[in-house]
Amino acid sequence: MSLETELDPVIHVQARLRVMVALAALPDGDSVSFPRVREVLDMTAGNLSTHLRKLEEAGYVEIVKTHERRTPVTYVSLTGKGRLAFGEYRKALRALLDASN
Amino acid sequence: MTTDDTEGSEIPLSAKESLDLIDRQQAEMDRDFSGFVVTLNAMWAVLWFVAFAAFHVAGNGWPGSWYSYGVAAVIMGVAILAGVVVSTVLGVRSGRGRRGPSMVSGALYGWTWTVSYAALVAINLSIMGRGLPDDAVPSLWIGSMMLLAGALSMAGGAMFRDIGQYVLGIWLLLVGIACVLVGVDYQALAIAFGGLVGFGMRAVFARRGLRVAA
Repeated sequence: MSLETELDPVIHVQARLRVMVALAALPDGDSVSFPRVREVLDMTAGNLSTHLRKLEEAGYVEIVKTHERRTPVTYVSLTGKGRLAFGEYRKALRALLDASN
Repeated sequence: MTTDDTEGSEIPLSAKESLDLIDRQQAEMDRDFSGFVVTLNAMWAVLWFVAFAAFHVAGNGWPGSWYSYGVAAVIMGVAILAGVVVSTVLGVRSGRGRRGPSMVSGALYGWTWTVSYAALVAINLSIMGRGLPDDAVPSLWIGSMMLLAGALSMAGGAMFRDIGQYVLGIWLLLVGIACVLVGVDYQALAIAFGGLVGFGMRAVFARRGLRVAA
């Protein structure tokens, strides 16, 4: 079986993997604003939006649009399913690495 | 690291490259979300030392009394106020753009230090106003301040599952007990060094942790 078929294709893309790591670093239940994620990951707004949409479609992230002092703000967080998928992805990576050694 | 890769231009990573990327990104997140712990503890190490060394220099231990306890109290007040302001700014900056249960806990924990120290000052001044013997005053302040700092650090360590902070709390309690036992003339100096070592070590270990992660 090839590497590609064993790993979650939603996560196994460099940009989305970085997004998942960033969101997994937050304590459970916390969320972070879209501009802060963009700043931390140094990604363009369009690129980040594209990858977040993919992750949201898979149920791995939750995107909440709200208002703070009349300013629209978008918050992003990892869902329970996303945290689980990320854990499984890391386990699969380690298993692949062990198998190849 | 700028990532402008679009969906179609992504180059597949090997398992090792993916794990390396996860480690690098996690280290970046640690620095971004927890880097302020190093600054905060390094700052308190210095301010704590300055505040209590100022009290020692006002006392009768070597090198003799250079100024009154009133001057020492002003120096300590300024040092603590500066520490509270910088701690608040650092806490707010590290939490920028974040919300959720841990942010609420962090804010409440920060206010717990401020409010409980304000209460401690009020209680100690009230006790002093009732005619506490002069030689018992330094022990009252040092013992109660260290007890509160140690207990709050341990509570923070338990709440945030931060072993380093918990150990710092135990250290501060031990230093507090030792300082009360050592006697009036040198207890402020001992506590100055105790705080310098405690907060300083916490900063060093936190920094080393970030480096290891990097």
